[in-house]
Formats: sequence, C-alpha cells, structure tokens
Amino acid sequence: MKMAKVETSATAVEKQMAETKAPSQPNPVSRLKFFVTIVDHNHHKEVLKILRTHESGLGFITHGRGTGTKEIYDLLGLSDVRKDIIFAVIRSDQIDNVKKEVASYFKKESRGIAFAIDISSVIGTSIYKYLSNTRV
Amino acid sequence: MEKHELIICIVNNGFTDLVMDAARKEGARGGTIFHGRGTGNPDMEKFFGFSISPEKEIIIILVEETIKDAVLKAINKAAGLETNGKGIAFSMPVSDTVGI
Repeated sequence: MKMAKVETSATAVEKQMAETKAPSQPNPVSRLKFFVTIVDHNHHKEVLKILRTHESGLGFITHGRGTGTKEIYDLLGLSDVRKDIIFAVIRSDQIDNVKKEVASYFKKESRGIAFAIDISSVIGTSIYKYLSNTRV
Repeated sequence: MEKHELIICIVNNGFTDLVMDAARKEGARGGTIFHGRGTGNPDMEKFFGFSISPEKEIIIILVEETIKDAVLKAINKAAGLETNGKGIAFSMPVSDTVGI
C-alpha cells in the first residue's frame, strides 16, 4: 500500500511588489486649492481669463450682492451692489502667479477680494486629473 | 501678513441685515450674499400637503482670525437656531488673500 504523500509545504512565493514598486522619480502631484474671487458685476470675464491661463481646471460663477455700509453707497450714488462670485480650483503651484495677476487686476480695473481654501481630499485620480487640469 | 478666516452663514430669507449688523459690530467690514435653497426636512412637505419655501441666503464674510470667535458668537446670538433666522454659521481658514 502506497500512501500518497501530499505535498503540503507551501511554496514560498516571494512578494516582490515592495521591492519593485519603489518609484524612480517623485510623483509630481501638487495640492489643490479652491480659489474664490468676488468682483463687481460683469467683471468676471477678466478673472476667468487669468484663471484659465494658469491652468485652472474648473470655474463657475454665481451672482451675489455686497453688504458694504449702505449709507456710504447712497451718499456716493453707488446703488449697484451686485457682485460676481467666481469659484475655481487651481493647483497650489500656480497660486502665487494667480495671486499676483489678480492683485494687479484689482489695482487697475475693479476692486475685489480673492482668497484660497485648501482642498483636503479628492475622490479618484480621474477627478484629480480633471480638477488639476493635468489630463494627457 | 494677517491670517484670515472665512465665515459662512446660512440663514432664512430676509435675515441678512441682522447677521451683517451683528458682524459689523464686532469688526467685520463687509460681506457678500447669495441665494440658496435648503434641503432639510422633506417630511414637512408631506405632512402639510404643500411645499414650504425653503429659500435661504448665504452670507460669506472674510474676517481677521482674531475677531472670528466674536463674530461667530454675535451671529449666533442675532440669527442663530433659536431665533427666527434659523441660521447656522461656521468658519474655515483661508490662505492667499488678495484685495484686503
């Protein structure tokens, strides 16, 4: 009688993933920022142009109204308090240039306010590529 | 450069003056208002058989970090959830401010 001996020794499979995965170069992923600009009504086009030249992936506009002290508005005859609010997503490596150009636009053409908020998470690489405008 | 905080306040329609007056008293200079629509409590509609207008107004105010707490407290007192304004307010840090 012959007993079939079952080979039970687990073949030691080497997991090479960890060794082969080491990236040869650092990943060029930069953080995203949510950039909000508030300008007077009908001044959104120039701001969007600035954002577009700095590879903003997405921008949308809504209308609002300012709440600066009303007495002063009436006194100066500036009853138009309509504002354009521009929301955009830009890469943080572009933020210094955008800031500079928006500041000079505020100085030259129209007063306004702009600020950036850090985006903490994005779901999925395709969304990241869309928002950061790095699609190939 | 001074740090700024963005205060976002969502109140029922028509309560923005209360919010802005309260914020201005604490040192905020100005805000921007836009419109929105609340989505809370869809059961109310079924119960009453007609839709209640959920119109909201959203106020965004950029303030210095030092007065943020005072402004939030004042807004809560003037138009918070216990009042008819039924407002909520929160703040978040912002970077790279331009134009202030």
